[in-house]
Amino acid sequence: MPIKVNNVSYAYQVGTPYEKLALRDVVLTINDNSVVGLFGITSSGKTTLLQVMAGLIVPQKGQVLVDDVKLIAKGKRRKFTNIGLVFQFPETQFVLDRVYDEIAYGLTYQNLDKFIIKERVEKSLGLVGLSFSTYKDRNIRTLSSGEKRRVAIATILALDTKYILLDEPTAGLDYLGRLDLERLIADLKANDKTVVLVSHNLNYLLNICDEIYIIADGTIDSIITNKSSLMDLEALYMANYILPAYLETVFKLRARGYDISLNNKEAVLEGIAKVFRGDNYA
Amino acid sequence: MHRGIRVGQYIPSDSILHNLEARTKIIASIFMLVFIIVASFPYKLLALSLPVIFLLKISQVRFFIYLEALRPFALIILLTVILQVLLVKGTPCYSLGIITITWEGLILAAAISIRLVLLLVVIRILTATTTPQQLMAALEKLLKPFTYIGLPVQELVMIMTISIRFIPLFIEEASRLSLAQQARGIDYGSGSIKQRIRAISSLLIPLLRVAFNRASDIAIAMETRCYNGGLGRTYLHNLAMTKTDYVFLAVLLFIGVFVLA
Repeated sequence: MPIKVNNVSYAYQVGTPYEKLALRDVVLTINDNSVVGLFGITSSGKTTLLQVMAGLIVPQKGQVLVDDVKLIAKGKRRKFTNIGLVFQFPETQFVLDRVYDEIAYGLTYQNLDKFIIKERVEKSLGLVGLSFSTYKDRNIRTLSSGEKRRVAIATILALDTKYILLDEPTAGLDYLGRLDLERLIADLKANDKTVVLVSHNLNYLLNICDEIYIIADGTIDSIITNKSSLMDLEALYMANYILPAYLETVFKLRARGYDISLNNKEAVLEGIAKVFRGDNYA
Repeated sequence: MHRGIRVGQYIPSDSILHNLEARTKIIASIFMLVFIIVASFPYKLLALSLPVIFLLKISQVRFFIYLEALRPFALIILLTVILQVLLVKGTPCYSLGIITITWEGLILAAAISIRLVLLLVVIRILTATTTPQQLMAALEKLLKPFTYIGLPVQELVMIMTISIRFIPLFIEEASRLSLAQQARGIDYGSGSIKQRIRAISSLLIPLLRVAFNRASDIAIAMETRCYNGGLGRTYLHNLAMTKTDYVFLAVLLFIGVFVLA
């Protein structure tokens, strides 16, 4: 039972000179146990879409369904309890000093037994690659940026929701931090979770996502999946999106007349060699 | 936290009021506030509401924005009305058990509520038609004589400018934090009083931290731009009152004095 976004439109500051349409007739389905990317340039509507999917903001038009539960029913907004959303720079939202207390903070609102809370905190810390015994009593202020980000993600994982939404999770992370996050997302998928992540780094999304929705001007412009053809990716290249270096190389060679498919590594290398040698085009 | 127009937010337009100099609007607002406070009820106060409605009309700002400005004060106005109606003694007009409503109470409640609404609308017209930067520049000019008695006007205005500049940012930050905390399971709407107080602290602690960090950043940024107080500071846009400003002030003053006389 997936997340369904049906014809959703959302505008900020409606009826004022500052009115801005953020989402326009968006239709998408997030399948269970998948990793889905939302990609677009700044102000394309990615974050708003994520917040609508989490049920945090109510669209002026359309409906959101999570496991067949409607966000708006009989004119009232419902709370989705099986979605967790990690905001951008979540480490700015810390309330308490001790790592354990911070992760357990949201759980205390669920009236859970303290043993279950401890179990959840331990599990979520493990998922983000931090040892429970080493980190549970650490003061958050003394952690490094990467560790803080992991603790912040652990606060959401502790809720044990089926869907986990991540808004620009790589922002401010170094290369190793991004690799760790990549591993974490793979682990979450292996644990039957569905992950939706927003990024303006297509390169990163191509590495980890089953599907990528390209968002432009508040609507879904195109979808990239494992089955997408080279032509689909080439269309993105032609639309001036920054692609991974290896893809850009392929498309530049194709633009020079080489007949190269993505899977033909020899042809790519041969093409590069010919360009360097200054040979005539094939 | 609504995501509509913010209380006190400037609403861009090209109306006569928008094009008036900020000093004119501040002085006119002070006149109007004094007139509204001293006007007797009902005739003079109701007569004064006509120029307020006229100003509201020519401001070219949509009516609901003024209603939005009144909303945060609705409870205060309602409480004031209820207290006046129930507590003022005089000629009874309706009785139910120990509760007696008097004509004097009703008249006083109407007078106070109309006066409060008019005051709030006048202030909103000023903030809707004048940018915070214009307001502060005008205030600095208006308060300049006080520099001769040693009042650090420029510094005070700079503090106010920075405060006003960051109000919308903090509202946005608070709104974002509120959503983020809800996303991690914190519930503002239900639970015991203790849990609700804890929930609010989840908003206040990070917000204060952000505020202090931002204040520190601004201080560093100002120092790197060689800010050393207001001494000898010049302006990018100099304020200048035109004939329209003087005419507007004169007409408003005339109307006010005429109504109150």
